[in-house]
Amino acid sequence: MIKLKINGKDYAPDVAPETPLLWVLRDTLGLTGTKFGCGLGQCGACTVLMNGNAVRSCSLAVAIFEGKSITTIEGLSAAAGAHPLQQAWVAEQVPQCGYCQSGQLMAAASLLAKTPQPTDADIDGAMSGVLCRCGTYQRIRKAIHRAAAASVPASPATSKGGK
Amino acid sequence: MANLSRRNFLQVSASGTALVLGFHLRVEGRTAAAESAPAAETTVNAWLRIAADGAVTVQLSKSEMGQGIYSALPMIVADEMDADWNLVKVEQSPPGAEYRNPGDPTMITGGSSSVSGNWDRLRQVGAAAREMLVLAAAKQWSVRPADCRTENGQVLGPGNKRAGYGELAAEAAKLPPPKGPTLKTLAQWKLIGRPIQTDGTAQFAIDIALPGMLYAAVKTSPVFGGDVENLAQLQKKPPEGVVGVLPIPNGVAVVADSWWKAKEALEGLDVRFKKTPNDAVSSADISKQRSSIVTDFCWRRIATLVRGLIHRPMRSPSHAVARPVTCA
Repeated sequence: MIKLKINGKDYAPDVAPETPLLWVLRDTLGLTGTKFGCGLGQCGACTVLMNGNAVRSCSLAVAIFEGKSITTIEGLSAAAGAHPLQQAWVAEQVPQCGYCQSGQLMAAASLLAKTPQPTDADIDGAMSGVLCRCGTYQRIRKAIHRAAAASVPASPATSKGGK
Repeated sequence: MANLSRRNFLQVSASGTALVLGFHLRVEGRTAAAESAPAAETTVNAWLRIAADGAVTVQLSKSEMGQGIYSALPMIVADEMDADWNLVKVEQSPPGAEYRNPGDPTMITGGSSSVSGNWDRLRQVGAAAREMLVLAAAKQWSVRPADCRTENGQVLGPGNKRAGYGELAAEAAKLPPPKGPTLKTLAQWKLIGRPIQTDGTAQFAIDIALPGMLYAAVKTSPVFGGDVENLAQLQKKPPEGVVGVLPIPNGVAVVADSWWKAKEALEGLDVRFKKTPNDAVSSADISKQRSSIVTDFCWRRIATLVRGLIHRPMRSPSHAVARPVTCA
């Protein structure tokens, strides 16, 4: 049993400790908002927050997350779609096929929590690890600036805690 | 507000008690020059069918590949029609010459053209259906069409009159399609333009979970025609957590209750393939074979040019998708 705190809730899945968190989220816990794209940590579709930091869940064993606070796309906002980034995403019509957008939003949330008014270079640095095959990069950038301009501290809904 | 001109050819037929509108979808995009006019006038490769029970079927000669047109194309028709979206279905035409793109030998879907090239026509088809249904209701009630409105698959008339599209279909099928149906304004759309969810709830093929669903990781022969040599040995003691080790064409599948378990178990197996004549084939061998095939064609005059072209390395990143290809 691995003890996990995901989006403020406690879970204790019975999985092998070396299982990547991604598959525990998706197959064991039914939290399918986080996506699989490459399994190599190269595409960013699997991005979640560990204590507020963007990490690639396909490449990290679930055991690493014991005692840490995990935030997934399902927990980005207490009310569905209410996070300033999610609102900016809709206003700028960012998603096309939508598959990479969970990873994009989590990476962007982590950026804004640390850098509330990011420059384009800040955005490049934080976001270039999350690929979008539909090419929505220009709109992602616009939406991040839009959310930043809304001047609401864009921190994830759950508290940062743990080791 | 465009006219339903010959370019937007619309054919009405009655199929029993159903209203059927035939039209065409093309493969040219929005900014492409007009397609071959004669072909467009007579091609019918798509249908809108409103059945007596109210079911609305949009039959398309296009291919859904995850780009979303099996939602988008019916949505355009359904919105202009004020259809009940819950009763709208999409059907794919089977391969066949009668379903070809106008003036084209193929049924190809591509070039980012499906929505952009057919947007106007799909709206007009939906709007035409709506007006025919209103006219049919107005006739039945002896009221003016202008005093009727539509909502969610029904025509509503003065004095609380209402009739479902299914009830009206047979009568509507007797009417000629309107020449210039009124299209909705942007503000009136109910389906078109609704934002995609940003909270992870949008379902992709990889997210489908059925009761008792299992997952498989597969390994196939690295060359054509190879078969697993040691299947019996692989099946003798399935790794822990694995439901089964099964043969598949030219390979083996490991089945478990999670994809990760299946993948890990497969990687731990020593899968061996029988020897085949293809084992020793190299890229240089394949190049030589292709060259000799081209020279044998009657294109001798352009053989040199073609040889140059076919030696390009395989690279088509324009067709690679981010999502895994799942067999859901």
